[in-house]
Amino acid sequence: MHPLPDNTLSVRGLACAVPAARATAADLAATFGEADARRLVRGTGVQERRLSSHCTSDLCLAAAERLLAELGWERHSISHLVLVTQTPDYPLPATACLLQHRLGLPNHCTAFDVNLGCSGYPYGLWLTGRLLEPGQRALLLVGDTIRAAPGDRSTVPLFGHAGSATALERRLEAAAPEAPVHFVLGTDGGGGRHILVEAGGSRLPHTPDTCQPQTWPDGNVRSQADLFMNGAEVFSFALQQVPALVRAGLDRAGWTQTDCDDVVFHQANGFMLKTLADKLDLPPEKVPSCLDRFGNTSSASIPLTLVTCRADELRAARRNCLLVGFGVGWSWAAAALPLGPLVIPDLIEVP
Amino acid sequence: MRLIRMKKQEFLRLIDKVIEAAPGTIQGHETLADLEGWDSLSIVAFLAAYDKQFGSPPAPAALVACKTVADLLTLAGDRITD
Repeated sequence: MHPLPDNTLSVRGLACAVPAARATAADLAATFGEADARRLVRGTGVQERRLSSHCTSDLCLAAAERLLAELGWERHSISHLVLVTQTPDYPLPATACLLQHRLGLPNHCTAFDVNLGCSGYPYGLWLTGRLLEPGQRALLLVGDTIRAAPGDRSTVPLFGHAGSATALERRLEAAAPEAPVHFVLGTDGGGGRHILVEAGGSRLPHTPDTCQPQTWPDGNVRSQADLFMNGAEVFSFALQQVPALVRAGLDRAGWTQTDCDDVVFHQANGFMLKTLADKLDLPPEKVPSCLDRFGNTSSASIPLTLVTCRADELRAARRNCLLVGFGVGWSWAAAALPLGPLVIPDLIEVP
Repeated sequence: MRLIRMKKQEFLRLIDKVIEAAPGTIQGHETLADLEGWDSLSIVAFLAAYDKQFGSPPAPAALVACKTVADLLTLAGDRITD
């Protein structure tokens, strides 16, 4: 899908929150042994992750509270709250409804959850932008707290927790023109089985059996209620889909690679990011990454990369950014947009 | 589209590189499970190397099903020359 350019959508601020608690290679060594831990760290590019028992909503709440305070936005001025997550507080009600209450947002505010992961940030920007009427404001909250099965070496070394809040506004038509925002979005549900939590929904409700860890043909130990990820299929999907997505995003914006200051990928894993950058001939300075410090934080990985790698630049001036999300679904989205100057609080660490 | 080809010896060196072994380690008769460096990470590295060499990745399920180096050669099919 190639929607028409959005000429009046503005991003005003961005905040991220992570747990203060860290998981390191030493933790991996305790489970998988020293040699395997070293190889996993080298293979994934993840040195450290932030993990805790906090819910995604707790992290997003901390980010939203700080962002609203630094923006000086009155809560009654918020018309929409969109939460993108695959780790809600409960199967129902929508976590966004609970966050509307916790944040003290007005009752006329719409609030709902969107179940997307790796593509969730650019997808959420597009969707939230579609909701906004001229002069309205919205909060886009995006985050995940994926808990991998302790014995699964395909997921444990990779995933970290993070939440984000993005403040969006639709300018009045009469306002001074700014550069438009361009989106490219797509789906191929044929890949749905390759990143999957099989049990716990209507298709396969929880039973004692579905929660029982077992050893699978890939050698990993997990239950049907745990996250399964087929790394080879994910990598193959990314190799085939992402370069075309990046080119489509640049084309839509009318940018050359030189015009684009940053290509911010979903932080899938280090080897994949390097392979994609090589395939697209992108110089390392255009491809910021925080994967080594935070791991794959699912839907939060793009805003977390902006906050931890580009905060000073985005506070000071405008940058042309291409935000590229891809993965679980399969689902993908790219947003080519001018970002900055933005209000960006320092990274929040939640004890 | 023109098929990109590779000599068998070059393909074996590519596998050496993927498993981080000295050049010349892989001879072509090995069982993958017996190779120290062959695991889920090296399968992904092989996918990337194959894509870079031939312009598209192999089918992941077919790659994961390979048991021997000979199977990997079969996977590459007409792309491999003597």
